[in-house]
Amino acid sequence: MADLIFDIEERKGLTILNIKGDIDASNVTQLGKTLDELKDSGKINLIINLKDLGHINSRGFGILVHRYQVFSGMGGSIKICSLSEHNMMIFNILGGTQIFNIYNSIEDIIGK
Amino acid sequence: MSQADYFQFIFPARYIYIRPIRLFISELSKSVGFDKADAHVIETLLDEACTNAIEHGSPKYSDNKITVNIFIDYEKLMVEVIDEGRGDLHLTKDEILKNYSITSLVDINKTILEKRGRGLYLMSQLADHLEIKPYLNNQGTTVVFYKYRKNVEKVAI
Repeated sequence: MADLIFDIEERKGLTILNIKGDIDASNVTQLGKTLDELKDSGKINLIINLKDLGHINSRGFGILVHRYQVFSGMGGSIKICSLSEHNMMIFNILGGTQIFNIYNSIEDIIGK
Repeated sequence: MSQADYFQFIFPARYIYIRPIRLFISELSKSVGFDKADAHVIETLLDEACTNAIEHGSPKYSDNKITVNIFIDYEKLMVEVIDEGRGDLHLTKDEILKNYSITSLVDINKTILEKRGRGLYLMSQLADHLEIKPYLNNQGTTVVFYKYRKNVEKVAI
């Protein structure tokens, strides 16, 4: 199974999910489970920091899109930041830039 | 394809085996002259093809086998991913593009919950050539993709 590490932190009253590793079919359910746990604990205004995301496939992207819809439906949001050049290309192709608010860095969302 | 270097992997249809082959093809691509960006594209193409082969082409799960054939010649890297599924699909890249559009993928009112179709669409955008065809006498499905080298004359294998 591809290594995948989730680190959750609170900064300036916002919840940040830092994802480190690769997302593929072997571990994509972990991503969904982590997002569902955040939702269930009421953390529906979420920043997902993908600075240390090496690889994501279309399944991983699909989970993010699905949970975006769930969080938005509850009045929350998911913001994405710090995509690598390759992963930004994947998001672009799959329409992610039309769905998510995507930022260059976490500082662009929460300030310095 | 003549004078191609050739690698083959045959593995049980389990998602955990995609990663090592994905990492292999990324390193292989860089070793034969593809730049880092193209190596990651090839890695993504392989991931999508293998994931589809396991999900849609392996009715007996890990009792089924996935075969990955990699050919490298002076102009391109070509990959075949063969599963043991239905074996009656035949789609060209143009047909895939007709069936899956970016408009439908991002239509928040219609298909946002639909998690299928993105992989093939992504492959059609990343590959220089993409084709889905039956394997032998409909004994499975073969996905074929190419990535051409950017500077053929500068690369010596």
